[in-house]
Amino acid sequence: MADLNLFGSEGFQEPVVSEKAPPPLKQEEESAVAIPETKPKKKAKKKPRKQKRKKKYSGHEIFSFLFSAAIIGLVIWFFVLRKEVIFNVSEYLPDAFELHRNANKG
Amino acid sequence: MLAISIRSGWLRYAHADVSDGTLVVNSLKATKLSKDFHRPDLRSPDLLVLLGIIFQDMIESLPVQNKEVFISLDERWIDCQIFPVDKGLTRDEQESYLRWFLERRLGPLWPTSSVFFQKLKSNGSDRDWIMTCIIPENALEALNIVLKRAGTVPVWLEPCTLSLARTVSGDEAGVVFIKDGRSVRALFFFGGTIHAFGQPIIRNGIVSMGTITGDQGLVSTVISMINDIKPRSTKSPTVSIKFMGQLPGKWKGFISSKKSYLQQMNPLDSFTLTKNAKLNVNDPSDFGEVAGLLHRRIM
Repeated sequence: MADLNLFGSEGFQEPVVSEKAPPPLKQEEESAVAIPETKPKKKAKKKPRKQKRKKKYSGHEIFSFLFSAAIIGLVIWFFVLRKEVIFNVSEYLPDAFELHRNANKG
Repeated sequence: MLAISIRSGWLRYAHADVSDGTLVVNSLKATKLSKDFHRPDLRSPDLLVLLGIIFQDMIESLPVQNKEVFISLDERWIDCQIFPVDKGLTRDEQESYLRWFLERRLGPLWPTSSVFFQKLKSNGSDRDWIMTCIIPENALEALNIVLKRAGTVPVWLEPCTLSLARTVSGDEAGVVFIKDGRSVRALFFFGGTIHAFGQPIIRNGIVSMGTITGDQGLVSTVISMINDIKPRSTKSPTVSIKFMGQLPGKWKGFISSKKSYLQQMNPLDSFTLTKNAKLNVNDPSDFGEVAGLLHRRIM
């Protein structure tokens, strides 16, 4: 392989003869090279894995619950309001209305 | 060590620790250079300042030890060509001929240029092939000064073509297509040595060469072999065809139509990367030259 070093001397350069490169590392060998083991490792006691807590309710369930609660709330509120409307309206009979108008004028 | 590459407006670098021939890459980074640095005036006295700006932050961010620096620069910085010379000439005669030829080619720039040659391993042709690299003296001096001022040791400087070639070369004859932004580079090998390189073009699924330097006979043989491959053919080609990175545009169709003959390469495959280094790599193929410099260090 051509090996020109422009920090080297000008003119003709001989290819640099060098020690053979180590064989490329495979992914599986990496950890063994990077961290040489000095002591045999104790076998770690197997602890029962803590299971990840499952969420009691999914987002979808919570949303449906809130949505239905809102609808129920609105229905109740509507009927209560309707009742109020009914209770607050006072009807005037023609005579009573005449009396009421006169009273207001006076 | 620090491996630095400047190619197509990008600064890419790796910091690595080397011990007993083993290399562990601690960090890999890529930065887009501002447009002022894309085509610097290599003969300007201001180049020193420009290089200082490019390298300062990068060098300061690294640990104090292991500051050997290996650099790879693209053709905007180093003019790299492969020329044929007569086999019957002695080496001195070959050098005299090349200097005479380059003097005419460079004209007034010749006196301020530094020139480097290397004879390539023979590929059986009737001529010798000489790799030639030219860099302005001012640029070479500025690089040396900036790196030394920053407290580093400049060890190796080469054109990006040679860094890439070191990364992708194999023992067999063949070609490697390499993604370079929106374009593609092609490197042609014979017997594990680069013998030609250039920019290939693809039209209607047919590959040809736009620009080329080196052994054109080898190039036309390899290209015609590639174009002769039929998509459903079961014959394996006699040359190796590899590619590095996601090739752009119409090359995608070429890759998919001939993928059973093509071999994809990852330049970082043979190195141990720390977690930190892995995090910063979006596309490993961008670090082809950096990988070539790392290989150079452990050779």
